[in-house]
Amino acid sequence: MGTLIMTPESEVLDTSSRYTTDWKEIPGAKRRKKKIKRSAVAAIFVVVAALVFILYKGLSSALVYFYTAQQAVADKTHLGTSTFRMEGVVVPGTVQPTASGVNFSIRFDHTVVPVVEIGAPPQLFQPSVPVVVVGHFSSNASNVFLSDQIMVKHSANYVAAHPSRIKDPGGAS
Amino acid sequence: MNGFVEAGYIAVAAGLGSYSVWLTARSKKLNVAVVLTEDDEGKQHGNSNNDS
Amino acid sequence: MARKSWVALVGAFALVTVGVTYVMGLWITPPDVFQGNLVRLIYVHPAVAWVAYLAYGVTSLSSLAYLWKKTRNYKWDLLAASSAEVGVVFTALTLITGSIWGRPTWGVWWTWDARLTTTALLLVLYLGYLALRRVSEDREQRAKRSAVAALIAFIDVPIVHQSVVWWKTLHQSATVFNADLNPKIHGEMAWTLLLGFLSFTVVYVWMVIKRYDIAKAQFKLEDQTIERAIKERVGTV
Repeated sequence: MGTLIMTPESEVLDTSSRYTTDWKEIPGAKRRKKKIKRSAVAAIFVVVAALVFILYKGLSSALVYFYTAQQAVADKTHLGTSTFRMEGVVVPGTVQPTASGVNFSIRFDHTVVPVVEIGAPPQLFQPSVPVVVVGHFSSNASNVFLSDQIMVKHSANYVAAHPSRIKDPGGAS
Repeated sequence: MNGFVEAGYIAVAAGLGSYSVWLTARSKKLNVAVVLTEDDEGKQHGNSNNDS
Repeated sequence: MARKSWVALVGAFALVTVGVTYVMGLWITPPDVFQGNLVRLIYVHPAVAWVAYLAYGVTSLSSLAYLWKKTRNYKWDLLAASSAEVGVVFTALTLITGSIWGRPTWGVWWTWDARLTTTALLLVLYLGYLALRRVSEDREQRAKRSAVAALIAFIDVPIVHQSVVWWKTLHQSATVFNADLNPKIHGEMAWTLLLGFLSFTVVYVWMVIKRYDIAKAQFKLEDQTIERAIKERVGTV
């Protein structure tokens, strides 16, 4: 089709190529330019894919990152035994190491939820710290929360452990 | 200390350090290239700005 | 020549201040009552994150300067690109140091809370900006497009900073730049934190100058190559 009917566009292309044939070519110049562009488009494609992935993760996880223990108990009929993150402060005196992990309770305001954790808690896990536990209620009837991960939510306060500045190379961790 | 602290400090030093090395090497190379072409142009064609 | 030695001086100053920050952070400052020695990461992680904000701020201002007709100059485009590249380096280091700090304190390398998610987004947005700059070879088109892209990407910066206030996150809230500007760190620890901010800012200044010089030299070289190619083809007119 293109060979028989000469469109104005192809005519323009033709004439320009007549001129260019007289020109001295820089060896490899054209090909290299094209290559750079293609890799740039590929890079953009990867970036867009990453953007979509992060936005998906953000919308599905970051908007409601956790329920407080209080919200979780209040929303219990709705949450059922689905998996979610729950936040609260570890109640002192409730931490009991078990064969498979640790049992303890977390509190938010006046709501206390018993937690059964399967797996090792992080090294900074201790009574009175705010934690986020990942898991689900054991059943629709029970308030016990089965967790397979504890994350310690530390505060933004920093206080010197030894105001007198005694060197402690071992530290707490 | 505990490995994590050192790893963090080393990561920053390595990251910024290698980028700095790259910056220094690249700017040296480019400055040489620019000076070379400038000399080249000067010898071959004189002041090129008058042409355009 | 005078400029060259001035830049070298900035570089030396950066090296010294970072060195002092490292010594203070690793050995002189005391361990934290809760975190122990892990607190030492506070002298690098927030400072590196701050520089990323700063870098993208400079990119945005230069992009605006390019877009505004009265100040339009390719120099602004080159500065915007240089600062963005340095910003990407610092954003990547923010994510790396944050991850290294998160593993022993939180117990996880990564989690999809709002602060971490928006920071990852920040890195990818500016990687996209840098990729976009490679697509078009037309200078004006590239400069305009990337200036607009830079301004769009910058929207994420205040979101990252406020994410710990707007959403429930695992990440703690700001220690110094919080709502009531009431620092929750004191004494030697506070001074070292401040020194960290200063030293990495100086590193940023040096890097941007170097990167901008490279961009300018490349720009010049491109011009020279084009001029020469035209002359070779057309001959001396």
